[in-house]
Amino acid sequence: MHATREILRLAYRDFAYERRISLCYVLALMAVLAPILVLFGLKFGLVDTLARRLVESPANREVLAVGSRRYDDAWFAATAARPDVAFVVPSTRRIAASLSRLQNPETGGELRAIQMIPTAPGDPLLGTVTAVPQGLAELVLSASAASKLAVASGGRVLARIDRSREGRDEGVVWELKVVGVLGPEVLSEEAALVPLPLLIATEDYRDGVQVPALGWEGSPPPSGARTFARFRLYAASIYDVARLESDLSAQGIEVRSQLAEIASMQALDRNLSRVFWLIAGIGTLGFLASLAANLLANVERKRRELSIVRLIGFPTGSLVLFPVAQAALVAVLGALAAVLVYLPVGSALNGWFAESLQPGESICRLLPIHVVAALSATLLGSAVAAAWAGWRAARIEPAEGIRDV
Amino acid sequence: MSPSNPVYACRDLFKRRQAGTGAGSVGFELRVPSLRIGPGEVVVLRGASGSGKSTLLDLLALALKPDGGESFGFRPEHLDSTDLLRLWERNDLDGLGRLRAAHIGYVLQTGGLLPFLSARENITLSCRLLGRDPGGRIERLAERLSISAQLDKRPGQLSVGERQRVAIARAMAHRPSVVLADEPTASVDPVNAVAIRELFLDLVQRSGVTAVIAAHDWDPSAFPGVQVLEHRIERAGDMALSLFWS
Repeated sequence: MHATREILRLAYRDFAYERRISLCYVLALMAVLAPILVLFGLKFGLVDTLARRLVESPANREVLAVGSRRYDDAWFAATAARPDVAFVVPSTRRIAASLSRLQNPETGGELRAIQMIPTAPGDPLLGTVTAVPQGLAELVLSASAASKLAVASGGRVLARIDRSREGRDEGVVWELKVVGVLGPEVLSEEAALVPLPLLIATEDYRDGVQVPALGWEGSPPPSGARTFARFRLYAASIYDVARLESDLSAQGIEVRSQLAEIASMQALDRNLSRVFWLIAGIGTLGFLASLAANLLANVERKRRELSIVRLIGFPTGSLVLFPVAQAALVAVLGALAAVLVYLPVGSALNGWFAESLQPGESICRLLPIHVVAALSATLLGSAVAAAWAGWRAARIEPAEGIRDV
Repeated sequence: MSPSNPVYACRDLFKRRQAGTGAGSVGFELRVPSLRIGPGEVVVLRGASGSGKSTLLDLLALALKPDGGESFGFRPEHLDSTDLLRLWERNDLDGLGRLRAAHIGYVLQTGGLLPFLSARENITLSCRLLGRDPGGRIERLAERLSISAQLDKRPGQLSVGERQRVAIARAMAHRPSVVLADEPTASVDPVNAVAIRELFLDLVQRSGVTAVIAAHDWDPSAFPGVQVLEHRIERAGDMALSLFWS
């Protein structure tokens, strides 16, 4: 249609003719939108990273037993069945849960009295990327242990345990395969994650009991069901820790957890979110108000031109389209300018905080979908404000506005 | 040119306006008891400033809503008569706009040009809206109005007289049935005013277009073939009543 094509051309020509004023509108939009983009970037980066770390961190979900008791299979089955328990595995006496020595035969690097932690499929420490060790000849090392031994995933190490039996010092050495190495952020201490059967075997050996599977000699195993002195237990989420702790206490088990820290971190997280939404709300309101005010003022300013266009015979739709087309130009250019401001600011922020971030985390982050959403919201807001102003201008009779020159 | 098929025909048309503000304000009413303007006629509205000439022109330009009337018909060339009162009643601004775009050219006192377009683009705007190719008509009009050298300049770069010439060219470029002009020479210096006036009338009469021109200072006896609309101002209490008729 001629009128539509013509009015779009006129809108562009006017926008270009008044390029200084147009530039002011674009810069004004950029000035309010860029800080909001940075703020949202911080929300999706910093605030969400902190919240995820808080909620997901295994350390915050762990419930530790203080001292040793005797937990039988029924207790483990009942505990594992609870919906608020993410992971539970038996553990042996603390004194038995260590290797006397762990050595890398290729480099000669070795560790003494290294702690063994029982593991099983679903262990939060293993996460989803690390392989689960199986049987009696596999283990996963913490990052510090692997670096001391200079061994990587797939490497082989020699383990040794000692015992004192009938007045003689004995020891066994056997070969283990490293099937995985934990990330440094998961576990800071030197430790080996081993399958429960291996831990049981070493406890038996230390107790003087034979382990036929590994060829270790000793007395026959005692009769009766086996009980375990300790356990490793993780709640499904940090919100389950409190109930889990009180239930275990009710069973007479003295436990320790990060409950106090969790409460204060949750309060911090909640308040950070509040602060963010407060600032974002004020900023967004201000942004929309300034956008609408600018566009309404622009239509007021264009009243004479709109009257002339009306007098020449352009239809109402064209009078609405004229400011809407200009508003769309302002919105697109302003939003692009704001993104151009955001990008270096965002990467600078991420650069400053790079050291305290883990891989895949960022302080300031906007996904393309967020940028598209910001652009669409700006376009939509502009179009609505301009269409309303244009429609108001189109309601006047053509004779009004052409005389006041 | 039959007088039975006038371009404009109206009876008892009126438009009220509030003139001035505050305590001394007086009501103003434009009243057209009877008006018939035939095809090709050139009509001049005379009368002092504030006598309602512009109001009448705006009514004839379909740009101002009348407050009432018995009949108000508009019959451009090759078209049946349109009942303007009905269009206004329905508030059909787009329908009025289409009639205006196709059949009316309007020369405003101050040009009314779009500042962001060149003179040429201003002149061709109506043709572009209608999707018509003006061909060489723009150049011929420009030559006739002595603005050929100014066609690619913006209105801001033109003198007042040149702007009025561009406005005249714009009003005539799309071959309308009717050209309306509101004091086209009032803001131009006297020497230029005479030249523009003569050019405008010459263009109008040669093209055979119907023209209504508001001009308080024109002496119609100097222009043969030009009619003057009867005009009188009456006072009735607080109301000033301005009457135009033919």
